[in-house]
Amino acid sequence: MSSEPGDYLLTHRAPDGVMDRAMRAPVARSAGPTRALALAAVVLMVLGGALGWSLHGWMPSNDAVTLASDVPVRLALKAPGADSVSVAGTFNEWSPVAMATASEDGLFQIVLMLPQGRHEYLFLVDGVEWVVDPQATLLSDDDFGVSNAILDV
Amino acid sequence: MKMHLTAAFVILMASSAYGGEPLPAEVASFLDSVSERGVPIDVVELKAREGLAKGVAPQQLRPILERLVEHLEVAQDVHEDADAALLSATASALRSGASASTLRRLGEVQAGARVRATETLGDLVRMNFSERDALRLTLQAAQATDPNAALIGISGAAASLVRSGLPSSTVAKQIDFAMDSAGQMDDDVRAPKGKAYGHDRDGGPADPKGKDK
Repeated sequence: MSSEPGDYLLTHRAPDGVMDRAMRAPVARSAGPTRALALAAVVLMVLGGALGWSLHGWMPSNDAVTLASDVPVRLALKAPGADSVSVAGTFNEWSPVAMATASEDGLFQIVLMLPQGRHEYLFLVDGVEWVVDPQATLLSDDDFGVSNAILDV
Repeated sequence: MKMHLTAAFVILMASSAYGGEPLPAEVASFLDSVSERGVPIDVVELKAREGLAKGVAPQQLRPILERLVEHLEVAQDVHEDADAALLSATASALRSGASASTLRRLGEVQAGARVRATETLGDLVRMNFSERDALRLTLQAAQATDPNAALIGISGAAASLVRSGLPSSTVAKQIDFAMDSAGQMDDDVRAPKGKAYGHDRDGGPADPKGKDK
């Protein structure tokens, strides 16, 4: 019923700020040692840079962090040949919402306004096939035999 | 083309109004019984709706929901007076293999970052980090000025590195190194070598050589 990451091509998602750092981390499959080390270097540079900025000063413990409002997140899936693609997840109580298609190459996309926090989701292709976002860095076992993509906003 | 793409975007407001269809009787009655146990019913209902959306039969949902409720009850013991988000994150981390005693240590994290810290700890344990490494990295990131961003960064970086084939123990060391380097960069910015100015972390004037004493 489900597909493995890589069966579909995701163009990109376009969140800002933390989404860029968290979700744009490169995904490597079947990487050799050299590629793994190169990837490690890149990821650590990104992580180190992010922490370098964020470690200016230390907050007293138990201080609440002010959270911003909802964040626009674009999800996209390239599914040539599919008649429809929907997205469902914890943000919409797993009720599939149709994604728009605007081109002949099978690109389906949607922009969601999501509150900050963690969300889990899947794409539903043609109403029958649950598909993991191939670009998702983090996955979570859903208890039902399918991996959910994790989206940290 | 871009205009067409842009026009095709559907802007949706995140809303709990999605879904909301009546639940099958057996699921509804189970939720009623759960509400008497004091766990957040919304978390259990969301899992039920997920299963139903994925075509799981209502009778097959019960053991999965039961296990979730058990994890939520443990989560209530871990964090007294926790809200639904923290209980849900803690239950998820327990399911990933984190122990209650380790999760209890996250009580020292500032309140606004506790949910994210719990999620990151669960992520790391799920990636086969030792609980000790996972806790150390999580607590360290949680002390950053923007702990939520730092915690997201660690989860994402760890996932990418583990997926590249590196063992989790190696990844833990590399993230340790990155955070130490970042912390050193910060120290250098605030107090360049050869100069003694600014304030130390206790709020007093920086005077490393004690020459003013």
